Amino acid sequence: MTHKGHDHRKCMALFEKMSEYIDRELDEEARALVDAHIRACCHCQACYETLQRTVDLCRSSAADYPLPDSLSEKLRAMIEAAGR
Amino acid sequence: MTRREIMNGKKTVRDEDFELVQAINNGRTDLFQQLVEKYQQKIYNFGMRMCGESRDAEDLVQETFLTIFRYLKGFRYETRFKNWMYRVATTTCLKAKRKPKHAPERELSLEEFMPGEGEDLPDQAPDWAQRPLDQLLNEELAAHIKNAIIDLPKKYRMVMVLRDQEGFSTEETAQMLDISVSNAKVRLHRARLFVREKLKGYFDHDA
Ligand SMILES: [Zn+2]
Repeated sequence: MTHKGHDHRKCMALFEKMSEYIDRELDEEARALVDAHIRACCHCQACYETLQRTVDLCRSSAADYPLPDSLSEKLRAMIEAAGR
Repeated sequence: MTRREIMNGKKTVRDEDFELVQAINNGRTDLFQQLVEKYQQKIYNFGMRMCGESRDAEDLVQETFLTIFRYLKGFRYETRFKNWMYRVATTTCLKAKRKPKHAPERELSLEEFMPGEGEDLPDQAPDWAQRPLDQLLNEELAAHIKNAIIDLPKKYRMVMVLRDQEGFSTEETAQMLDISVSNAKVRLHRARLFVREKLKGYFDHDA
């Protein structure tokens, strides 16, 4: 990797934890370390922003699909038959 | 509201469906239709996100509700009803034969998403990560995201759909799939990295 001026291993360790960071699943201490690293490392900042955006896009694109017209009727008939 | 209480030493979760499920289990099977009407959209969405095609999603909805109808009596309210229902849906989905057009069942490794030695890393996030979300999201992009998720191997796809689209917590997802919390986290992270690569490809191509 081409990170200049600081420890690459930190970037690698952070890369592994990025989703937990996004999901706020890290404890306070680990979170503070990531915050500090991201402020100092533009590559990890960029990596974080693209992953966060990926998550946001997945969430926001999850709209309801139109239900097929026949589905409710099929389900009703199926349950009626099963209940007999 | 979900209220946990200790009954006979066992945890019981009282959720919004508790009384309806109790009534059905006490003989009012006619009320089962209410459960179907309440949740058919959710399970259909889940089916579409997992299978990508309405015929397969319909099959999933039918099988899921049929299984729930048959086994509801055995449901002990150790989780919310909704979570149990999704557990049935995920099990049904995992049992379904793999479609030839779907991604092969393979492991995703962290390494495949790491930048290579000597590769130039961006100093700044690309435009697609910085522009306001509502300026970015359109039908074409939504379709691309849907396809990227469909391209994931199933066990990764399932975790990502449950976490990032159905809105379940890591713990709930792990419980539904009978996997550890750390396993759920690993799968989710790799799935997100996979989808991110697809998005990069999409936007690079666009540029
Ligand atoms: Zn870094």
